[in-house]
Amino acid sequence: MFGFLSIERLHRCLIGIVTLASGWWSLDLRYASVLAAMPEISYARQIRPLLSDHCFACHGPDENHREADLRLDTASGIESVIDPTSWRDSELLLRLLTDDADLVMPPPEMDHPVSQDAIELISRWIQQGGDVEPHWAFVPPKRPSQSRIETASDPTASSRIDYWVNRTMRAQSLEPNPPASRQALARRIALDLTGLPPTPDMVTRLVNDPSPNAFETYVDRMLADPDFGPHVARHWLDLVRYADTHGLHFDNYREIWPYRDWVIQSLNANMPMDEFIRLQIAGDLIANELVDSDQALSARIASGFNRLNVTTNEGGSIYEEVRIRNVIDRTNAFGTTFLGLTTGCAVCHDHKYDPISQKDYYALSAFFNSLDGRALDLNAKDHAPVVQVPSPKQRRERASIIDELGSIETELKCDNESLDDAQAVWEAKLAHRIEADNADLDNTITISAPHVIGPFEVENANRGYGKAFAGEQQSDFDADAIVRRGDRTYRWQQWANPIPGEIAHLPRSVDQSSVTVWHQSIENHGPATKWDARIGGDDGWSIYLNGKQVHRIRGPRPHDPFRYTVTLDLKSGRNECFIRHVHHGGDAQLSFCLTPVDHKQQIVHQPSRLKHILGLPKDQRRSSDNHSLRRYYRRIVSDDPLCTSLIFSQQGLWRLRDDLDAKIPTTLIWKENREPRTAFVLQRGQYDAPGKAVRRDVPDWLLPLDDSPAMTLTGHNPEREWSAEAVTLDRQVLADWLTHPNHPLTARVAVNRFWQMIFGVGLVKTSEDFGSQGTPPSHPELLDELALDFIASGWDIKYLLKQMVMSDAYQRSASVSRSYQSIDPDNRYLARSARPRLDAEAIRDQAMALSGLLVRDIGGPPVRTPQPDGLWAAVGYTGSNTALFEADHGEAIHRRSVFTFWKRTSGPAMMTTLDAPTREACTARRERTNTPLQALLLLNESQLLVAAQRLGQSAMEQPGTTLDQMDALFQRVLLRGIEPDERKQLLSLFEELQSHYEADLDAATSLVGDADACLAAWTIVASTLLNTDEVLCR
Amino acid sequence: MIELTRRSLFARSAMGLGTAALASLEQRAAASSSSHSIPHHEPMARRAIYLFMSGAPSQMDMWDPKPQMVDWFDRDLPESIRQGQRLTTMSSGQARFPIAPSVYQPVTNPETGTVTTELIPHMSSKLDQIALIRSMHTEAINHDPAITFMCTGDELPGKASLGSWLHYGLGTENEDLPAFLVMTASWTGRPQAQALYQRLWGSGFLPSKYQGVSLRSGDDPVLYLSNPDGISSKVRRRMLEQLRSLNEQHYERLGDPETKARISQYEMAFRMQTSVPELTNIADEPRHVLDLYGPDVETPGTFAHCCLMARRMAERGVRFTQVFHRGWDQHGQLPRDLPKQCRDVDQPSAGLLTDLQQRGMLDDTLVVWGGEFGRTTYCQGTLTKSNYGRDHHPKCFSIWMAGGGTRRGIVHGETDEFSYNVTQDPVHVHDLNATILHQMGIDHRRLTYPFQGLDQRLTGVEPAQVVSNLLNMPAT
Repeated sequence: MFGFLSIERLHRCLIGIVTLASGWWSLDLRYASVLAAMPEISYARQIRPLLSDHCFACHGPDENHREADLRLDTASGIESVIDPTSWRDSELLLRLLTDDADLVMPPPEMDHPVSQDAIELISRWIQQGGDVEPHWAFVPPKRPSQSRIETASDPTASSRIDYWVNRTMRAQSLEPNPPASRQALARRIALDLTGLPPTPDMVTRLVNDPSPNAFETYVDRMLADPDFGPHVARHWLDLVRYADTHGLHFDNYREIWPYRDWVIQSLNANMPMDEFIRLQIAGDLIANELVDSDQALSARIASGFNRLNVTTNEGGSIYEEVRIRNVIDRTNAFGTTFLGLTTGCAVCHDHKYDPISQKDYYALSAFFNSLDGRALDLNAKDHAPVVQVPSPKQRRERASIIDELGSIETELKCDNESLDDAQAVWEAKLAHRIEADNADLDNTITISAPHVIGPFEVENANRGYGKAFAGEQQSDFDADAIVRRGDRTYRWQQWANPIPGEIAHLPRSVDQSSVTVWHQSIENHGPATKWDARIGGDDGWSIYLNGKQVHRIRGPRPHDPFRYTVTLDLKSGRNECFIRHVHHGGDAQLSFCLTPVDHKQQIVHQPSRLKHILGLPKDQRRSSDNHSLRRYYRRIVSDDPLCTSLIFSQQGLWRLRDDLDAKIPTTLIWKENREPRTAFVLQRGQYDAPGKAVRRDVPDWLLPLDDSPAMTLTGHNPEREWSAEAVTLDRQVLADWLTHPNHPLTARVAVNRFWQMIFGVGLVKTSEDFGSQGTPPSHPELLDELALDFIASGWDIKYLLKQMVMSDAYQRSASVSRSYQSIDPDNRYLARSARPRLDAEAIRDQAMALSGLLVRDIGGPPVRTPQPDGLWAAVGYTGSNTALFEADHGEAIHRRSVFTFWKRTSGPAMMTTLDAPTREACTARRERTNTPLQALLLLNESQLLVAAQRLGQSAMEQPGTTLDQMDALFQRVLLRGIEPDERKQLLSLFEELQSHYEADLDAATSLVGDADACLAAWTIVASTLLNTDEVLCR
Repeated sequence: MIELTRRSLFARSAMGLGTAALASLEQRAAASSSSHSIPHHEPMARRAIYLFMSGAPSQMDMWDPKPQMVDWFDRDLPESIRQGQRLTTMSSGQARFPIAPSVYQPVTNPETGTVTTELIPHMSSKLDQIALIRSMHTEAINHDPAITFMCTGDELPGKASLGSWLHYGLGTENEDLPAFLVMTASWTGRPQAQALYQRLWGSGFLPSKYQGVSLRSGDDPVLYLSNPDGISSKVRRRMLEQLRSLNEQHYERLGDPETKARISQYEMAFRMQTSVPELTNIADEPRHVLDLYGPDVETPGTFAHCCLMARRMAERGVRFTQVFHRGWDQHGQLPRDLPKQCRDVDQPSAGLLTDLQQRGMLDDTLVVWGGEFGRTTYCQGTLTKSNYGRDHHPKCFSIWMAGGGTRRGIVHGETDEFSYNVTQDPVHVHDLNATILHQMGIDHRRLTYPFQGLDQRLTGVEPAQVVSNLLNMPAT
């Protein structure tokens, strides 16, 4: 299949070489290029890939599976098997060529023989000296010497891109296509930069613009268009596997669209790529250093990148297994997205092809293993940690509520002479009563000292609200009872008696949701009566009296102390009161006391500790005790109008805040655990087979961390300390390392993806793999130069894209001559423009835009764009909240496709039929297939038909004859003038259809909702145009 | 000997080098193309039908009965059997693991002597036609990863499914129908059913044209197949003629072969508009054939209907058909739900085998029946004499294969007296997939696709074995 370099052309190459030998000053440019393209055999580009593919699996970086102690990925290893002085005797060649099945390499059972051509290449390389270089992608890009001067010497190259493209192209004896027409370019540029076609008006303006800067003006306009962001973002969202559901098992809704909007906004604002990367990796840490709260919120939203992995809450899941799976998913995403490496290969063993050891892998994974949140997603849309993303209005509302709550809290806390005097009187009475040994105390009830048991770890907080943990649903209590759960046993612990108003900080598990149960016995000395429990907690709780649940509040939520009043029906004698506290995350606080229903002055008998405190003058008490007593007095005892009005307002504001919070969207973010978790090398990648502990580290063979401090001079945060000891290895360090100008991969990988977006195929075709097994770059010098320019420009994405679309290489005609077809069928040398079929999103958006239906609003919750019935139900878990699909209505359904709801286990039908990935795993490039199912979709999909009808309608409304109408419709859809033959055919199609529908008006009604044969005919003509190859490709 | 080869090498002109130099740009793709000499050997099956029981059928209540367990009612599973094996967190908190004997009576097939249970009378009488494997085992313990593992050879999303590999490797036999069709059947057992995922028939890293096409019950068996109301087939034909003409003029201008390809895809789409309805219209099926599949066969969407459709697809050259039947996750109330599940699938599965056999198609059609793991012998939840539930159990489960070169009337593998551990001839998921590929003429080691720097295969990197004992003609 690679026989396209014909003998004839090789002769011409050789003539070129001869010419060179006889006097290079007479050399014409073309032959110089030929020579340049047939240089010494390049170890990096030609030999190393062969060795990698055929040899590294057994003679590569993986030291646990290295045969014969020979490695061929290092210079010393190779030197031991080649002999340039007597090249025929090189062991490497002998082993490749022998017929002896015991000796030949690779061993026949590998079923991966080396081709004759490849062996020739290797032999020639040995003859040339067998030089060995490191893998090209692992050394920093370098600027070819003197290349600037050479540009000047090539008058045909109008840009650096063209210099390199022309050079390589001419070496293949290809001549470039002429430029495409301005009309075609107007469409191409608009589709590539905004994902939408230009308006006919914009095309006309470009065509008629006499200025030499016409294209530049047009390109600048496209780059500044708000439609730029949604289009470029879409490619990024494939890469990072953005979606609107969890992806596994229930596959419920997950709310993280603010991340999607952040990507769009950042691209529209032309955020430098290094910052774009840093914020996604470490936005949460960066936010801590930002003063501006909007910026800090944005940074936190960006940190949602690390939460985009699929998650599960499948019943029966083993927590640690899921947690490790999440960590591995994130680590692999980091590798694919930023390094362009298949780091995932090192989960189970050292990488077979690239020098990523298993230890490197887990050291890298340690950056992503310390989420302050649960591995199981609770099937919740807001699986913590999350941050609220209020609209500006909501933000104002909430800020004023919080503000108001704050000032109430301050007032409730601060000194107030009359209140404090009254409190002193109350305290004195209380002390007196206690002192008088309850003589005068209305001793209706007494309450025992609390007992506490737990924390019981639960795999998710939801489970905390279910069955009893320690006898809460029983009507007796045994303080010596032993509770067994799993392999562990728990005992009740006596808890220090809280004084009135005190907030208890309950035991909790740090790394997991947990449940703690609180118990107090209430002895009722009188007949049955009602008392109020005043209760509050962080996060959720349920209170039980005598085995029955009285009330429950679900978390997570902030602690509003003593907020809820729950009436308890106390029977005469002993009552058992249990409070089950459910800890989701953060603190585990509980506020609880009992008051008689109508007699707030009363306080339940509390033994010695209160007595002791009341016996002290205020200034000798602990301030926390003073706070507690004041809290209790003002909140519960006092009937001073000031206190009651404050508390009344506070209750109202709490409710307002809760109502608002329920409406404010949230987004998944990263939040680091206080203590980083230890990472282990997992043997064979098994979660339950931890090996050695590893500390966080970067793969420093790419770029030593010690070199990174230099970058802080130009980096975003020069204040950071960099001495090796002082550096805490966190994701911010990782992000800085990644965006260091000397990093060999980051800029190359990014530039290559933008190239892929614009030219259809990357300079490195395997844009997901820059490692040994990836495809070497078609234009290595160009890739390096673009990467270096990109860094030098301040990682300016729009500048980079502008360079690309302004190049001659981009602007060529797409015409495919027969010789191109045979010499360069895949268009790797860019003598012509690629004309890839538009991606699914662009096809739909284009139809919406051409017909005038498109709604360009940016951002917000995902839209359930209409799709055929039953697709979700066919696969959905019956209890899932995405098991039933109901389309949205109104304008929303005509928004851009990037806002379409993406259910991972059943992707949008139109997208997945047209090669969109499932968004379950990172996808760096989409395949482009051409199938009958796509044709059926493009013919029959309902939204595309609506667009066709709308186009038909507008054709009818066009003044003039049918011929004029046809011309206008054609111009509108294809953005070029109609050819006479096309006009003739389409008119006859129209007329036939019109008479068909006139004879069958029912059919017309079925199609367009009206007995309108003309509209029916126009609709089908428009649908025909929308289905042309010309419209489907760019 | 070496000398000769070397001489031939050195004799070749330097010019060959240029080709090789260019080739090296694309050499990964070139390397993978070597696997494309498929079939690797004479196939025994030309097509396959996979009846997938999603949720995990209870092996000891159906295929692997252990009548002696009656004596173990409510006794604890011995630690010597459990061997500290990990459990799901749904039952790991249980204080006890009491044995729940099956309430279903054993039934012996008179010809083979194989014992199954009364829940599957039709299949019990077919045991002489099938190879029953009682020693399947898998790695995952929860549904999502386990079913993904069965269908794509990997627990994590992103890999290519069995059907897409077959399509990629073997291509299609009928240009007018998709090569890989999927049906999701209705079920009558446990109302809460595990989810399915498009990834189970997805193409993963393979180009998406190899993904399974979901055949839906209802008006549009294939997505977007039907012309919209008001567009007759005649209008569509006329429109497509015009479209073809416009595209051909465009081809004249630009000469891009992709344009030609698009023209032919639209033609194929038009043909599918005829061939698919013809496929799904069962009006031509005689009564005696319909009766093979049982009373539900004429209700679209039922498993019985899907089985009949599967036969019609096989007849028309569809390479791989997969029917997913849900509702097999009997954590509790097994005696209430399992009989309904069995009723859904028993007669239709047997009917499919009979129908294929009567048409002489069973010889070259491979049929596979099974779920993603097994269920525990101990009870999950409350155990009574008549009611019990069973948790997930990856260490053993039963599946069967028939036709397409599979031996008849054999039982492969054994489990211990508790149906807890495999005691003989274990078959790993990768072994099963290797065997399926083998019967289709494919060496699982050589069906590869380069992705993320590896030659990916359905059967993973660890060695998998074709299970020769299952084959009429053992693998060499």
